Amino acid sequence: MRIGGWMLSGAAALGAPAARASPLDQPRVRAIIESLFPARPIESSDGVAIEGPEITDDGAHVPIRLRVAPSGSAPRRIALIAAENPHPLVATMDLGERLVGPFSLRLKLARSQSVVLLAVAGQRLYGATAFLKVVASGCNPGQEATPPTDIGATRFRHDPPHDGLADARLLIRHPMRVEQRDGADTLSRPADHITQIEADIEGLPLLAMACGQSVAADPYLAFQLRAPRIGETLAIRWRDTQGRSGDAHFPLGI
Amino acid sequence: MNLERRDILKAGSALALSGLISACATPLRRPAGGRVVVVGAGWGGATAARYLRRWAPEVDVTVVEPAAAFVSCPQSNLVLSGGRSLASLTHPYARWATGHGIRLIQERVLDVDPERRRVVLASGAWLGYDRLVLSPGVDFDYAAVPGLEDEAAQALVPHAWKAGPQTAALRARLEKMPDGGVFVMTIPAAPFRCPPGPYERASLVAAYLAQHKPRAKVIVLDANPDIVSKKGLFRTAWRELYPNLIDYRPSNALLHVDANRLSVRTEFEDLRADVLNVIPPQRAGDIARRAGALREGEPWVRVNFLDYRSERVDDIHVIGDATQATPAPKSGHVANQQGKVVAAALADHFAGRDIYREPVLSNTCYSFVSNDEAFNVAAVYRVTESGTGLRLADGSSGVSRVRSAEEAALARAWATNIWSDMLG
Repeated sequence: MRIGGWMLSGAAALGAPAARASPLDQPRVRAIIESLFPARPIESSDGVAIEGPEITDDGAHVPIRLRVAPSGSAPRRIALIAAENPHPLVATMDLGERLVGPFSLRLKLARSQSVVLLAVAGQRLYGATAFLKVVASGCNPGQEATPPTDIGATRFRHDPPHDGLADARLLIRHPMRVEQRDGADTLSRPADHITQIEADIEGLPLLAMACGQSVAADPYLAFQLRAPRIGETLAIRWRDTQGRSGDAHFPLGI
Repeated sequence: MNLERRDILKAGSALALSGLISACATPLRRPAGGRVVVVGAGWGGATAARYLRRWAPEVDVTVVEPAAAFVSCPQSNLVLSGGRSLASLTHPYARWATGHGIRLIQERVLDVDPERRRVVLASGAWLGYDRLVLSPGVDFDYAAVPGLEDEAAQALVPHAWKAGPQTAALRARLEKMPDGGVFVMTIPAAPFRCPPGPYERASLVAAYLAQHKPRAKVIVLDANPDIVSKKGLFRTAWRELYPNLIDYRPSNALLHVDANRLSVRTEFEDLRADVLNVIPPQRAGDIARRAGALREGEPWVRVNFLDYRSERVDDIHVIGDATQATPAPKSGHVANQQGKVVAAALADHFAGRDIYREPVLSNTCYSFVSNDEAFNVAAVYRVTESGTGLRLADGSSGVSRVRSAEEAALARAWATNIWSDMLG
């Protein structure tokens, strides 16, 4: 389903003398980038960009699409950072050869802010930023809600391939609850979120995704799958902060 | 404004209208109190027009509304379950307008020219204004529902998200549905008009089926990760009143509709329905965009909540579901409250007074889960410091502890009272 009013804010934002200071210059963002991708200059590329709605009412559920196709080598690792969230590192994803972007996912934003995408391809590090506006904060702990009874239920589906690439979607039911603090120091309720999602096809790694609490409820990932064949099986494994874990298997090919 | 024009307007001749309105909109005829045109006589517009006439009788108020009668969306889900008739939700405008000295033009607005402060009507006539109040409600974004882009396909899949013939059409389909059939409804990603409405509908369709087609099922495909409003109360009601009848499937966004086969494709499954109800994604009524009140790419209008003036266009005020009013819901009650705030602000404006700086909105949304039981959510909203946002007043929000017959009676009384407030 199309979402009205998507904007594209990509490579151009990096070099442009914008009214806002670049989020890449914020110390906490720099520290994350340095720890993930030490001592690499960040380049821009037309093929690396963040797309999202102009404005989202509920910051608990902000849909975005990541374009990660720099010219040259395919990216092997990407990271997403929400600069002003309490826990800014949203996720990192290690990408197998058959996993192809663009990637759609949903994140939480505490307020309107810049989001940073980084992609490693070959020996190069590419970056893009986008300013995403939200009306209501997505990082409120909210009421103590009963977790869904089908926590961990995993759904996957792919469409018939076109030119060898099939649109695919993965969703795992999980509340992805943020932590609750009374004051700065006291953790009154710990977070409850998935930390790791792994996928492989016949033993060959497809995806390893590390999630923080800034991934929206019911973690969702849309992507393209290269050449799904009848007889192959996709295996999904996940685990969360509470020690829950699960796996699911899906036959490929249509 | 003279009587002659009023009589001619009532006669409704488009040709005569065209000539006379244009002729009258010259400075010679400008009334002393100011001219206000209100577009849309729903919950917001009807309230604004009535209260502006009450608080500023010297102001000339013209309402442009294509329908001859108001049909209430709130409580229209009860038509599906047989708990209310469509007639009981319907209130003709004619006597209301005459009684309050409101000039009513039963036409569609085509365009707004903010430079010349004119509203262009479908007949080609135009109306001049000093201040314009847009209360256009929501438009459906069918372009975002592959398979339902054209009107022929839409006609096969009623939304019933604007009450009236659509409500009757959905009820008729329910009546024709075979016992053992499947009712499938889809809910778009929030925000949409009436946050608890889809879940009330699922409940009341289940109420009808439990009574008339006990082997039938309701499948709810929700793009949202959970029930958007009054979650616990709905879940309890579904479990206790309709065990195994409502199959709720969250995080299941619609991708495609086949209107002829009544089948849907979501992100994760394909389904066939005997009765299909697609609640389409929504955005501000299109006249808001035509008036230039929308930011590029944004679906809802940004206003200053002290007087609801558009942040973008001078002399235009926007109220109701079309506004970006989060955290206040897109509800009839909130639109009614906004109608009063804009009426007060305009009355102050034309009298040369300062506007009131601390307007407070309340909201009550009742939801029925059967013809006999209901519950509510209520809250109070204040304007933020900057005037450009709303916030929940501390400690003001709450929901019913349990569903009850008493609340069903209160809900019916609420409707009678608020309809009387806007249209009495």
